[in-house]
Amino acid sequence: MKQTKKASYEMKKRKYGYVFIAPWLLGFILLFAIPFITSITYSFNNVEIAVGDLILNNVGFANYKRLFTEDTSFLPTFYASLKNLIQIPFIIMLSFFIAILLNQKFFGRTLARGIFFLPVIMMSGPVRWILGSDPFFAAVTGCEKATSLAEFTSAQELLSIMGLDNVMTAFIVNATAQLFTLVWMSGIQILIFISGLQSIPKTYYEVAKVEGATHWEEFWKITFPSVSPMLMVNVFYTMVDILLGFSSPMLIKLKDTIYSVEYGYAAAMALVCFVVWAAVILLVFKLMSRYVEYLAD
Amino acid sequence: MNNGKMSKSSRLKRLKSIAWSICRAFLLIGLAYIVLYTIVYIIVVSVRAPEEMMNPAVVWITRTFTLDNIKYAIEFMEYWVSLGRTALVSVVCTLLQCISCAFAGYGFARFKFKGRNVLFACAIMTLLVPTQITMLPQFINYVRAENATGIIMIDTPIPLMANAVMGMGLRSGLFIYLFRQFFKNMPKELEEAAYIDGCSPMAAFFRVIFGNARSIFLVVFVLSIVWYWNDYYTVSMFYSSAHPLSITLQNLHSVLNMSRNAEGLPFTATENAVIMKSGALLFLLPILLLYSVLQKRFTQSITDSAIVG
Repeated sequence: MKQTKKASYEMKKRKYGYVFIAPWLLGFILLFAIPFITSITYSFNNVEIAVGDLILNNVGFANYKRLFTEDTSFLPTFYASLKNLIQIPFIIMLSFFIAILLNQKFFGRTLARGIFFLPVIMMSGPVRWILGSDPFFAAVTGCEKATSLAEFTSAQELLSIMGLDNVMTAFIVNATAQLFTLVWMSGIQILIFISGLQSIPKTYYEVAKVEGATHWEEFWKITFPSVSPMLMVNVFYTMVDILLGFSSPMLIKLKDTIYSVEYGYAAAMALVCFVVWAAVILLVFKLMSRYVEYLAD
Repeated sequence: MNNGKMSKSSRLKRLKSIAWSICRAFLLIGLAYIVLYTIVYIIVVSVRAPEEMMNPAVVWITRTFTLDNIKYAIEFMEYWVSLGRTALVSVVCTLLQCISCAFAGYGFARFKFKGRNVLFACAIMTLLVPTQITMLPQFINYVRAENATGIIMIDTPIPLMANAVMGMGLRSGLFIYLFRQFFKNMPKELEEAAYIDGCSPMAAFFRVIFGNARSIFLVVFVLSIVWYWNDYYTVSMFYSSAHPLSITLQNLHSVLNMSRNAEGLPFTATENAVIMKSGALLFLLPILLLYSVLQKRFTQSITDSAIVG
């Protein structure tokens, strides 16, 4: 008797799961799945706008063929968008470093934490474009780059004396020069890392202290494994932000194609991007999940 | 003897910690400079007489302070009207999105139902698809719905709000994820007590969970309103007549090129660039004010809500 009652309760609870996700599920079907499938059909058609509707002319794989053989700017832009993924390790390391600093106790900590979120507010929209096209702002940052470049060249010499080959040196120098961009892209990641650092029980460190662990050991044995789930979240977020964010070169090209009313072609382009990007993200996750320890769950 | 040794090592320790605080202060100030640099630049330039842009002696501190740029920006952006509509759309959509994503996140976190993992993967996948790809078919569907029902939808806030309420607003997938992680980590006893008292899961959600999830709601609210405020692509597709600030700011450059100043002369390139900064300042000001009010609680909420992967 009790058993059946419990079972029916479980059944009811199961049904409530659907109730809770119902609005989203409806939206997913109506506003995502159906439009997505429609877009796939667009990609095989030449789409023209008529009054209140669209006229489709089947062109087979012509849109895809054009993408890879005729369009000279697609593949370079596409590579550029993938190449930007190189920034990921640097963004992650920098935001982790800043998060550790902001997690310590000091005067003005709340304010400091607030400041590092500002890039998210300012750089997700038109302000970024305005600053990018401002000749005076470019002049100011240009000057800075000029002086810092002088430093970088000496740093470059130093690195090559240390025995690093040119490719590696150029890579390091370039990464340093991009510090501005990296800090601007780390807002959300810093917050996520701080939230992770906060959730580590204080007792872990106390035990470590009693056992006589050094700070170095504490970091690698406690801090790092504890935030490794956050590492996954941040890598995912950063990838999405770089590939689909507001400054992604590929998305700008996609928008231009849509503004020039070539919907079929734009759909083909977006689909190719989606498939490759999803594959890249899945691959990175497969590789990472081998190394990441899950303390939670 | 022993005592002396002790004090020496503790003095060394103190010295070390002071050295580290100074080092940390330098690092943080340096990094904060990178962030604050841009906003200070926008503020400083927007109250500067355009002639001074050419003066190499003036870098940060303005010599002739003027509000003319801001006046022009307000005039040519139709600032107050745009501000009202932008605020309305962002706030309403954000609230709707908070509710729908919280529902979905709660459903995914607490109930075991068939196809849960697949559907959750679908929710994450929506983040990977460029919005542009689904936007046009959505638009056509809204036009068809408009023809079928007779309710005018295009060029009203309805499509934006409908998207938000059905969990397909801006970056909804991310918010569903955040809510799910948060609810997963909440103690189960909270609802179980409510169930014993005879609450249905829906009532338990509103009575027990809602009140205990304030921090994650605040996090999602702030992120969502920031992205809605900055969005121009979706809004220009569905509600272009609203002329939201994000669009009027982008158009300001060409509007200024076609207009004349108070003396009846066309704007120079320098004046144009300076007024654009004032426009950017006006665009950012409301959302920065909101953030500065919520900032303390927002950063506190982030640490409270422990978004564990």
